[in-house]
Amino acid sequence: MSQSAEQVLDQVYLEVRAKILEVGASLDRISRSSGDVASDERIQKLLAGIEALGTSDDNRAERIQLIFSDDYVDGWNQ
Amino acid sequence: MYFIDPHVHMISRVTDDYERMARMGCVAVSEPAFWAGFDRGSVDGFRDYFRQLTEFEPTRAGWSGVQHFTWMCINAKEAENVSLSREVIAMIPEFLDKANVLGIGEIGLNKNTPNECTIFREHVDLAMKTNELILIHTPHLQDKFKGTRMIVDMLLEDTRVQPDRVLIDHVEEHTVRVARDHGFWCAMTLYPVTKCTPSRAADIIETYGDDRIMVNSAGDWGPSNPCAVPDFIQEMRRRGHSEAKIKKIVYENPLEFFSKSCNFNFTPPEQQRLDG
Repeated sequence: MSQSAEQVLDQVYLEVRAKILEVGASLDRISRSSGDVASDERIQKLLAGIEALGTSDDNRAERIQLIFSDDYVDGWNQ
Repeated sequence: MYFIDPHVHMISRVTDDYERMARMGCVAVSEPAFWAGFDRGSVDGFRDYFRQLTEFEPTRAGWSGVQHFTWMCINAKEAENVSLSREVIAMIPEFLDKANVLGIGEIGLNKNTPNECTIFREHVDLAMKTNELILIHTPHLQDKFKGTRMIVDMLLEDTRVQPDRVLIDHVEEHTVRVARDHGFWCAMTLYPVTKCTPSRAADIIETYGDDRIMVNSAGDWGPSNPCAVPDFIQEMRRRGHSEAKIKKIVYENPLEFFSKSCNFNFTPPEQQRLDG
């Protein structure tokens, strides 16, 4: 990695801030709308993905991908 | 910088796209056979499609100085129709000796169904019997992780398969490792919403290295950008990566993989200029 963490933060800060705002506004829009989707599996996955953002490891993207993935069953072709 | 787009569906694009790609440094494209947005009704529909890929499309690409290569198959989505798929697989050898055909692809899975697995294995069998390279489509979104694992399992079932003659496409953060760990080539598709962004592709390169990996636009009839590879080049430059490293990913790696096909008669751009 040829850039320092501070350099990367400088580059992505506003972009990531905007994306987080977009997520917040989208969830607000769902809340304001009629009906209840609290039990919808997709909402649960979105919230699980947001929770994964708060961890401190360096493979958040992979873990979020897996939250949105079907399970693989080892030995399915036996 | 010269680049090769190793996966782009140019029959869905206008001639102006070839011209724009050429102006941004594209010297060659590889176009896998795919789902055209509707299910075709007969083997003759595929025969006409394959003629377009092997006869007209190289000519159209040539108008902009872009070299065109292609792959033959019935895609995973239409593979749900097993009887039609078998007719198409039986017809594919008519095209394998055409000048721009690199192998069998893009085969793979879509919804990870038993029928898709059946036709995937039959395509692999054809590729092994005809000594062709294989280009693999992995499923979208929630089906991708499971489907990619299943595809790797099926490839490992067949002891004739040489991993360095197989390219597993559309890898992302959760599937790149399983492809690379088994010795397969892999590629990342730059679709902003459903696949990789240029910045995430660069992250994956920084995490897993630049061996046996490439990037493509997979431009097609849906929202997509045939000039996405230059966006990746720009992202890598912005991060301070060397020109040599970027060139390896967008030019040399596709050359190395495609050169395993006896039909890859590529003329380097420097040679093209000398030839006039």
